[in-house]
Amino acid sequence: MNQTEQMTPLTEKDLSYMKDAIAWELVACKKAFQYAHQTLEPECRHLMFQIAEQHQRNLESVVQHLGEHVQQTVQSAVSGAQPMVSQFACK
Amino acid sequence: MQQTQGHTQLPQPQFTFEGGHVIMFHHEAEGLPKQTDPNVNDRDRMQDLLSQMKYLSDGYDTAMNEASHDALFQVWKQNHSKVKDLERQVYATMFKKGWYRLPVADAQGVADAFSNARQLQIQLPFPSKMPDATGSRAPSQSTTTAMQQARAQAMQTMGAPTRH
Repeated sequence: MNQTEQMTPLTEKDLSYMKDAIAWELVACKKAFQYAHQTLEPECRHLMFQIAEQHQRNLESVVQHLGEHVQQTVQSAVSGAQPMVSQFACK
Repeated sequence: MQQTQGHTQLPQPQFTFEGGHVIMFHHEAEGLPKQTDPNVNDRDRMQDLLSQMKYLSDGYDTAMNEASHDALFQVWKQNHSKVKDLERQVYATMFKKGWYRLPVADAQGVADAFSNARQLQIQLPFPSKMPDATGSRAPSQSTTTAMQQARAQAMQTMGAPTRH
């Protein structure tokens, strides 16, 4: 378990932005991919495939970061320790 | 298509005079329909992807401002940078195909802006070693070094601001 991740939980704002980013990148990726198929001009077509690829990579980098924070919470629950989340709750 | 560090080089433009402005463009728009055709074409698709990337880029920019920890900040910054690079490629490709043209700034306007800016530089706190407009006075040391010296001097006088 990464000690640093325990010290820096995701804030509600962080989480909100991450959900948005994942949603946007998914649409952008699918759209670029579809447009690439519809485009006959080779230069544009190639560029659109590159765009689709990059949107997918961006999405996956966000999902990966999210996954790092999920593991921390799951670990605490399994061990029966007090949930880490309550220690950082803002009132 | 030339690639430099992932960017497409903008091609050498041509110039024309339209509506009282000098316009910079590559050549006449290629691949666009000549007659009435409501179908979505290549230019439309490129424009749409570009708009989408601008929106994403703004989103990442805001997220960067509000990231609670550095690892997440780096994720946003990286994604932002990648999207910006692709935006630039789309921009350059569209320009190359003549899909838009750019009005050029008026030469007198540029000269006036520069001379006004030189006047404003008088208000700067650190000594400047910029050469004057004709470039006849070469800088004897970099502005960075001058700043370091000014800062050191200010620290010695216990924080009293110095003006040159």
